[in-house]
Amino acid sequence: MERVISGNEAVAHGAMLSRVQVIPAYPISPQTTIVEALSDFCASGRLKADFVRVESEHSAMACCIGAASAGARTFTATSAQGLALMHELLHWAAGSRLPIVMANVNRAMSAPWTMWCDQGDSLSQRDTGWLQFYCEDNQEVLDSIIMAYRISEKVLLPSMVCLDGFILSHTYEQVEIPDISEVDQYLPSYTPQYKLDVEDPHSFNAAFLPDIYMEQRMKMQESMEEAKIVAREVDKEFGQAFGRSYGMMEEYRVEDADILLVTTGTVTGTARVVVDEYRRKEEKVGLLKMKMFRPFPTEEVRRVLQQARKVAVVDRNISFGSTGIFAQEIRSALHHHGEGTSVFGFIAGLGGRDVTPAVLKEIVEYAKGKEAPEGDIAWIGAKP
Amino acid sequence: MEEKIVIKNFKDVPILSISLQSTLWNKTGAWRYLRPAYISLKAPCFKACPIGQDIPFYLTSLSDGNLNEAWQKILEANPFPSVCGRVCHHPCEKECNRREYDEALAINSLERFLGDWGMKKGKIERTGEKRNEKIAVVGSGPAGLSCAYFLARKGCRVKVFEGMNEPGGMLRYGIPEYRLPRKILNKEIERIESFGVEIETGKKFGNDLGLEDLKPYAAVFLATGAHAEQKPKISGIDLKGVWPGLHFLSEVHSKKRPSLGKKIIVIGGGNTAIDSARAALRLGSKVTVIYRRAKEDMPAIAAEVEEAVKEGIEFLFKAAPVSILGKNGKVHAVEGIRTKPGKVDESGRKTPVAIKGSNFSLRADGVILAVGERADLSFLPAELKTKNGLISIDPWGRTNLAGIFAGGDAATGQGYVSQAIASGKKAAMAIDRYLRKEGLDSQENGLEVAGFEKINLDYFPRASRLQAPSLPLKTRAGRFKEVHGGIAGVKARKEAERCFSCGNCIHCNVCLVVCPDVAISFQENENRYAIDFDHCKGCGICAVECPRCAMTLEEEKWNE
Repeated sequence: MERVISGNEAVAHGAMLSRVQVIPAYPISPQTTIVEALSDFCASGRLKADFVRVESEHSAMACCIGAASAGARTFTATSAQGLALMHELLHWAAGSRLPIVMANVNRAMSAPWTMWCDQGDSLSQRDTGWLQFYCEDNQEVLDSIIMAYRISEKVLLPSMVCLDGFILSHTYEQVEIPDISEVDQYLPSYTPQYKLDVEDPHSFNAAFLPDIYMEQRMKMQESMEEAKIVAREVDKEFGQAFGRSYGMMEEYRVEDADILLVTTGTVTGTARVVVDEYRRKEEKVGLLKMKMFRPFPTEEVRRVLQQARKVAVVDRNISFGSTGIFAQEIRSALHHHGEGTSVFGFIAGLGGRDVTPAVLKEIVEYAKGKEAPEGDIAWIGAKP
Repeated sequence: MEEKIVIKNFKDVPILSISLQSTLWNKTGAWRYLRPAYISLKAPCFKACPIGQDIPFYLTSLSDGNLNEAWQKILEANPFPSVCGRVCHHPCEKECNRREYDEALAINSLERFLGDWGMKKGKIERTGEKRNEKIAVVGSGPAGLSCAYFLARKGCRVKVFEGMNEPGGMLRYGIPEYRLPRKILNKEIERIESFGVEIETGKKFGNDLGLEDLKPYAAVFLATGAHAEQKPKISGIDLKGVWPGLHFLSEVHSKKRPSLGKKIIVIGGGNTAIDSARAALRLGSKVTVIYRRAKEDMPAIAAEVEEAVKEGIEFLFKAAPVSILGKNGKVHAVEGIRTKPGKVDESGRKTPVAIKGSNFSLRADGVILAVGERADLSFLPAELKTKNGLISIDPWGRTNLAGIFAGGDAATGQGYVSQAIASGKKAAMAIDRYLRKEGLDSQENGLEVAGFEKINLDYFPRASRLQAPSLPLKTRAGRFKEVHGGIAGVKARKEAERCFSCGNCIHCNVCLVVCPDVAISFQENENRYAIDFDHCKGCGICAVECPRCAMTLEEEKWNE
C-alpha cells in the first residue's frame, strides 16, 4: 500500500510491521511523533505490544534491556541528548548481546540549545557495539527497521537506524508500506538463544575476570564482522521479497570518476542531483553513499575509493580535536591501500545548516582546484 | 555448583556472561543485609486523646465502608461517642499530622457520625464472662458511667448511685441542649445500662448514702463531680438577679426558663461561663462576658468561644468585677476594673493585676457568676486523703483506701468531658486488676509516635477538611436547637479517607506493589502481609515507600 507519510511515521510503521512486543520510550524532539504514533498503534489494538512510559531515556534503554533479556522483540526511539543519556546502557545492551532496534532521529548536540539536524549524536556513540545505519529517504527508513531486526537477531548485537531530524522525520514522502503477511514471511518471530526464564534461572552479565573478558570482546568484534556478511544477505533477500535493495553502501556514477563525493543520510539525495549535473557537463564526478557505518565496510569502501584520484568526504559532524568522523574512517581504510588517492575532509551542515546543491558544488570545486588537501578539515559555508 | 569450570580455548568462551548452571540455589534473600518489618507506631491523635481511642483504627473501618466494625471499635474504647462527637474539646485534631499538610481531619465530626449511626443501626456484640463481683459507683456523670460501663463489659455487676433525679451529671445539668440534645445523652446512657449497669437516682451521697453503706461491694468508684460553685469576693453577689452559673444552667435544663432581664453580664472564662452566656442569649438577653485575662487564656473550648462571638455575645477581656451594684435590692449595674498581666502564678499563667483608676460601670439586669467549681468533699470520711480540695488519687484512680477508687472532677479537677471519661476508664482497668489481685502496668504503651516527618506525602492528594453544617446565626436566639448538624455517610467516608493512618498498616498494598522481588504477599487468613525472606533482598523500597510508616528496616543479623 502506498501512502504519503513522514519519516517518523515510517519508523513507527517499520516497528509495527516487525511486530515488536515491548516499546519503552521517552519523547524528545524531533523523535516525539514516533512515540505518539506507536502509542496510538498500541492503544487502538493495531499493534499488540507493551508500551512502557518511562521517566527518562536511561530508563527507556534499561527497560529495553530487561524486555530483550526476557526474549521480547524490543524497540525504542530517541534523539540527541536522549541518546547521550542512554550511553552507559548502550554498552550494556551490546555486551549483553541483545538484538534491540532503536531509531535515532539525528539532532545536533547541545549546548548551545539546538533542535536541528546533524549526525554528531549517533556518531559519537560509535564505539558502543551497536550497528548503525543511515537512511536517505522515508522508504529506506521503514525498510531499514525491518532489516535491522533480521541482522541483529542473527548476530546478536543491537541496531541503530538513523534518520536526519526534520529533513526526514517531519517531511512527507510517498512510501510503500508492505503487507504485514509478507513481512511475517521475511521476518519470522524471534526465538532467543538465551533469555530470562523463571523456570530455568540463570545469572546474566555477572563479572568476567581478566581471563575471559578479552575473548568476549573479540567475539563481539567477530559478530560485527559477521554483520557485514549478514547485512548483505538480508538486504538481498529484502530485494527479492519487496523489490527494494540498498546495499551497505551505494555507488552512484562512480565509473572512471576523478572526484568521488562521500555522503550519508539526506545529503545523498542532494549529491545525486549535483553529480548528475557534473556528468551532464562530462566532468568525472561520482558519489559513494554510506548507509552502514558500524560495522564499517572497510574493504568495500577501499575497493571503490582507491580508484578515484580525489575523495571529498562530506561530514555532518565533527570529532573535536580530530576531524569529521567519516573522513577519519575513510583515511584509515585507504591507508596503505590508496596511495594515489587524496582524501579531502569537509565539515558542512552542522546544527541544521542546509547542505544545498550549491554547498556540494563548492566542495567539488574546492577538490578540483587543489592537488592535495591543505589540511585535514575544510569548513564549508562558514562565515569568513 | 562445586565444580570449577575452566575455559581453555576461545571457542568455549560464551558470547555473553551467563551462568552455565541454574541459579535456583542462589536465593536473592541471601544478599540481604537489611530486613523489612511491619511495625505499629502511635498516631499523634491517639496519643492526644485522653480516653486513649485509637482513632486511625476505627477510621480505617469507616473509610472501608465497614460502619458496624467501626462502631464496634469505637464502643470498645468509649461509651459516649455521640456525646464526645458533640462536646469533646478534641485535642486529637490539634495534633493531627494532616494539619501540617492541609487541614486537620474532622475527627470530632466523624466520631459523632459513627456514634449517631450506631445508635440507629449499630449491632452490639455482647460477649465475655459474667462475674459475681459487685461494684458501686457513686455519681453518674461521664466518669462514673464510664467506669461502670467498662466494668460491666468486663462482666462485673455494677450499681451506680446518683443524687439527682436523672443520670448524666454535668452532661445533663451543665451542658446546654443546643450543644448536647438530651435525646442523644439518654440513648447513650440507655446503652450503658443495656450492658447490665444499674442506675439508682435520687440517692445523694452524704445524705442518703455513706461509704459504710457500700461495704458489701467489692470495690467503690467515687465520681461525685465538682458542683460547689466558687464565688468572687465582691460585694453585691446576694442581690436579686445574680445567678451562680451551674445553678442557672440547671434551671435552663429543667425547662424553667428563668427570666433574666434584658442585659446580662457573665463573669468568668471557662466552659460554664460560655455555656451560660450562650444559654442567656437563647433566652432573649443581650450578653457581655467579662474575663480577667486575655482571650487566649480562656479555659473554655476555643471553638465554643468562637461560636459565642459569632452569635453576638460581647467580650470584655482583661477586666475584673469590683462590685455588683443594686437598685431596690435588684441588680442594676456591674462595676469593674481593667487588669494587666502580673506575676506568673502556680498554674503557669500570669495573675491579672488591677490597673488603678481604670474603673468602669456597665448596666446590667442580671449577672451570672461562673468563676469556677470545686468538689464538695465535706461528706467524705476523714480517713480518705484529699489534696488541694480534690480526692487524692494515683494515675490509676486508686485512693489511699484499698478498694476505694475515685475519678472525674472530684479527683482530677481537669474539667473536660473526655478527661472525666478517661479517669473512669482507667479506674475500671485498675478495679478489674484489683479484683483479680493483679498488678498494674505502665499506662504508656511505649510506642513511638508517628510524627509528620514519617508520612510519605506522595501518596496523599491534598483535600480540604469536611465542614459540618451549623445552624444559621439568625435562627439561634430564642431556642435551644442543636447548633451543629450531623453529616451524611458519604461525606463521613470521604473524610475518613483523608486520614493518613499514621504508623498503622491499613493494607494499602503499596509495599506489595513496589517490591521488585515479588516477595510480599497478603495472607487472607491471617489478615496481614507476609514477607518471603528467601527472596527479599532487603532493598528497602517497601519501607521507604510505605505511606504511613508502618514498616521499618532492621539490620539483618545473619551470624546470630
